[in-house]
Amino acid sequence: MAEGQALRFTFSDRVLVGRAGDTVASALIANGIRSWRRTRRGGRPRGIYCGIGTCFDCLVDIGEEVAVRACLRPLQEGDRVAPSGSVGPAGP
Amino acid sequence: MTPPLSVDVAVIGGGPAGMAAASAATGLGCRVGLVDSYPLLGGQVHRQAWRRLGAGQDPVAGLPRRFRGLGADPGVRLHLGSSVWHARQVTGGFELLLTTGESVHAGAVVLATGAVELVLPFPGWDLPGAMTPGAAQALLKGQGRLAGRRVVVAGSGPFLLPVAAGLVRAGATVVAVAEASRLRPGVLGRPGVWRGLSSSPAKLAEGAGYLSALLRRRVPLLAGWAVTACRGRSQVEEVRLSRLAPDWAGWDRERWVRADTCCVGYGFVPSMELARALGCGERPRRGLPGSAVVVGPDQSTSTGGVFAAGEVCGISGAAAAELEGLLAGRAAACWVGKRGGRPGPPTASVRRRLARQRSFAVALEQLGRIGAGWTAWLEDETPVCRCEETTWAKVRQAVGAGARDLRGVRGLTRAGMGYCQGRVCGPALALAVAGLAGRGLAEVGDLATRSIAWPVPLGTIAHSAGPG
Repeated sequence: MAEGQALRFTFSDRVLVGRAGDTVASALIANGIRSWRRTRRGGRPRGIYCGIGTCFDCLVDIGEEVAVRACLRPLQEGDRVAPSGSVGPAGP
Repeated sequence: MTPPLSVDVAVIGGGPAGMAAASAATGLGCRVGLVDSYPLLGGQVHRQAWRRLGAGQDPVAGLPRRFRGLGADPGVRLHLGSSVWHARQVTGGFELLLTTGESVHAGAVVLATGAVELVLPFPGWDLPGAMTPGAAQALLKGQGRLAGRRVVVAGSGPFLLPVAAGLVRAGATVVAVAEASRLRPGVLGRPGVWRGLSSSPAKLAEGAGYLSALLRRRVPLLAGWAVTACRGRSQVEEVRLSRLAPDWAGWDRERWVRADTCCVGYGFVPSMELARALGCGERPRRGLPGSAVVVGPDQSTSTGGVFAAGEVCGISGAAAAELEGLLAGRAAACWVGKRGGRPGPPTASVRRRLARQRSFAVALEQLGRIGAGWTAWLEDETPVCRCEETTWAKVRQAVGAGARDLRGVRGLTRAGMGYCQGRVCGPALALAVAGLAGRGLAEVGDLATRSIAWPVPLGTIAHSAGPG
């Protein structure tokens, strides 16, 4: 795989490294994180499902942006990623 | 309110159909607006690697040569990273509202919205690590990332093969590829099947290439088997493969395999939201959930000025989509007065190639049908709607209580009411409710009617609400 430039970001205060060309979802997966929010009703862990922006399972909050689809959003240096609060209680 | 941008032809969707339509229309002198939800053109089939995105990556550099002109064409305005959340007819054309807050006024519209994967729920399908084959493919092609290390690829249809082959080539262990349909000799005797398959040797060769990549790495290929469950503490750890009974009503053998990922999909469903918002006539799909846009020989829909191309007109593959896009782009240009308003008939060679591609697709569709008994693998507590976590028991109760169609079930159970608005669960729910209520798929309807096609913040709506 071609290597993009390293990008640092955080997920719930953990400092992680992705690379240019990652989505937020792919960067989380590459760091071994497969679920990044919990469902509103059952509190079940969710991560990527459809991968193309249809299912909204992969929602995260990034800084001030809420309910962002992690599979569509290009990772940026310094992104502060958190479990999406708008659709469920914070945190796995 | 942002003043609308004005174009002759708006093309919605930047895959093969949309790119071909945009090229054709700009070639005839149209100003074109091309909208796609990704930051790069290509759609799912020609998905580009995002490697240099932050460094101002050219949105066409990784495309086949014939599409690269779109990047520098002064007649084409690209609206990338944006979705159309509302489309309506207005005086002199159409108004499209984008999630970026922009609005586009167009004389004609080409719908190239593509399709989404058809998924059937199973116990454990909402565990992290369970995903669609398309998700694994997108991670690999777009980001060069593996979805997992030990992967089961299952479901039905030709798309499973490139996904599995891509994963093994990139270093994953594919534990098994399970195709739920069984190829019985009798199937090849069905009308059109043999002729359709033999009409496209290039596609058969492509399939053979994937198969040989899998066989070289000794990946077990199972026909007549399906993933009927997966389990694990906080993610997928084990996957149940079952040898299906006829019509998928139960199974006679099963085995649990260790895997961290399972990719399960049963083909595709046209993305009809905008077509329906614009009033385009549609047709049911034979034996499959969802519907497709009805088009004439020039890809015109029943709504004047709206044309459609690619999977939204029926699942026929990328080559057909591109040909349809070419025709749609030409016809849209004529609609807005280019070429003196006369498109002329499609050339004989385009028509011939299109017919061949479509007959291949029809043949493939005949090979893989969804067995009516698939709901046998659902358990009471299996969530059928991922967003609202509606269980299978709740759906059965709703039908038992008198719900006769999807809207009725949605009203009683909230299935299809969440963020994705039934895009994921709708098709499976249609199959299940049709089975439970003893009705046809057309009678139970679907959940694709919505005036707001994608969730948008209220501020975006307020901002777009100009006079009229």
